[in-house]
Amino acid sequence: MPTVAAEIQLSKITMAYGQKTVLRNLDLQLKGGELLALLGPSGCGKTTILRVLAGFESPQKGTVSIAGQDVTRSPVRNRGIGVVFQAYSLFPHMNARDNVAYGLRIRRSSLGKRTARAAELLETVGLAEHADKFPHQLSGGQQQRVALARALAIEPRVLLLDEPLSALDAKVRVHLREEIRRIQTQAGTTTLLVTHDQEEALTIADRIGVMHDGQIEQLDSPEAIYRRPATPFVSQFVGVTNRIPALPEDGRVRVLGHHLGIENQDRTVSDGTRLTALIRPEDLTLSDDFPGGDSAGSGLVTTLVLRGAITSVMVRSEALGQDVRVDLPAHAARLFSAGQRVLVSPRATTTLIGRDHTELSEEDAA
Amino acid sequence: MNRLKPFQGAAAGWLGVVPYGAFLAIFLIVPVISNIWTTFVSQGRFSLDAMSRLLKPQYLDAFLTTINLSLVTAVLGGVGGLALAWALNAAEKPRWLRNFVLSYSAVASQLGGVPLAFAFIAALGVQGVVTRGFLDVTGWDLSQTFPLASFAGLAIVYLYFQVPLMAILMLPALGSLKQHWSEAAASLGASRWHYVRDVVFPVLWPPILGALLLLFANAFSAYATAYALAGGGVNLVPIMIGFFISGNVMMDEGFAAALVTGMIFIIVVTMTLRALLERRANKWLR
Repeated sequence: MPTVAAEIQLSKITMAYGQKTVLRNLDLQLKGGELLALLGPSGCGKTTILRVLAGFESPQKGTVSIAGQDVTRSPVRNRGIGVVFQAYSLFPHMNARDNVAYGLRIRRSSLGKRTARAAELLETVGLAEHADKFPHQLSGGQQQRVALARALAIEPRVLLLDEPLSALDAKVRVHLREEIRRIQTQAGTTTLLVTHDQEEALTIADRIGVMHDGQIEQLDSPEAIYRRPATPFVSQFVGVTNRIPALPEDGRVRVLGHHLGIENQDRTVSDGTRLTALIRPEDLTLSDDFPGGDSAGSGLVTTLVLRGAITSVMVRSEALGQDVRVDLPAHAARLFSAGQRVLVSPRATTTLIGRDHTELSEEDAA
Repeated sequence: MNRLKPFQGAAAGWLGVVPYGAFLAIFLIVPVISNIWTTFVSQGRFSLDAMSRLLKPQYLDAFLTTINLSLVTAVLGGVGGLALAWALNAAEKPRWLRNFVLSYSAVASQLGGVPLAFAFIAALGVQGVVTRGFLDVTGWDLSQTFPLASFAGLAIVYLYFQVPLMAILMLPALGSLKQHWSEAAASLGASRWHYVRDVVFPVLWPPILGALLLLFANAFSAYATAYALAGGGVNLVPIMIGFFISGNVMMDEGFAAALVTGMIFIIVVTMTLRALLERRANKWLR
């Protein structure tokens, strides 16, 4: 499969629908051959970026460049893009082979050449034996594979994936995302994936852009996004986060009886302000030991939820008046049982802080 | 909880079919059988007389004229109705105008018979408002060029219910064209023309043809409008049937039944084709 690795540059993009501005002065760059995932809640503007890049929407301001060429005003068909949509978008009256070959037919490739290319791509997506089937005879996952093959058939400079797995059931989703990653790596096509599924983004992307309210809050590797979230929003949107009340003291915060440094120092913190420490469940530890009689982190184990290799231990803290989730390796969690009094402590010496219950709305969290 | 025994479950299932069965029996099976009986049984004996009379030139001519009129109004109404449906589907604003045209089309598609005929007589008849106005301004007598009691006149009047009927029939199919299809086609390099040629037309032709068949059947069986406008002026099968059922001189129920049998044959063929096309269309436009 040929490698076409184009760099992409979106500069100062402003996009509004009527009175509502969805993107404001947005910059985004994709390196040649990388898979960049835009992750964010509904309405954050991630799909709008994809549509602007594809040419389905024209931005009011800014430029779009593909491989150094300004395509801002170029029609969709001249941009050299392949798109896989969320909804099944195969042409219903064409079989899988004809769907895959359609782009080549438009380009006036010979019948032999396009048939061979369609066969090759259907083989790649594991559907060689389904070439004669029509979309209504294929499952959702199979349809999306054909759509991927169709998008790749024209050897696009950019592959755009608009929530391609969200209509599929969980098992197919996991399998297909691995397939997408394999095929994308093989083809070497610069790819933009739009998704609201953090697991999907974390597992297949080279880089992730976490979006919120029309802005990219953090653009980084999956590891950095998860381990070193730049903002409270990122820490809460990606992965699970405990929101634990924290009291500022001399430029640090007191959380569960421990003094922790503040990671996001851009926050103005004054003594007496109500703050919330954002701590991941795996960054907390449990013990049945109470050194010095400090009870700030103490609580009762209410439930243990087995999640495969890890177990989530839910601890009811009387002092905080809330539950705290602690994720432990399953074998470590076996030391605890419901009703047992335990002490919860942070592993790290620093934490991200957010204002009290205002960083992430209910809708965003969903 | 008591469970239904297998035969009770089956009986309950069949009970659900009763309304359909009753509908088919009352509106299709009983009338068709009665009609065929009247056609082939005369004075208690089997007879082919009535059917053989259908082959006489004046009756064959009635079938040909009716088929011609139905074809012409189905095709012209189909073209106009498709354009109207496309506009209704594409134009979002102004919303009130779209809704108004949609509602009016639904009503107009069922507006036939004497009121429609009278409306045309009042507008385009010899003393019609439009005819007189045109005559005064241009000296052109429309009622001479397009006499309402003629094939062309009837065709124009029929279009008043054929066009909106086509629009109403095609709206669901046009609404089923997915935006993603056009976007996917564009991303693959297709122009607007390519998209219409390669996707829209192949996907829409079964519902278009199905709707045209319905328009054909609709025109084929129209009676009141044709009778009110043309009387015996245009040789149409429904008007002829009317003469043989209610005429004082030509009363002949057996032959009327034979004419109806001929009509039923054409309508059944038409509707069977439509049903086959719908199966295909439904498969694609889900």
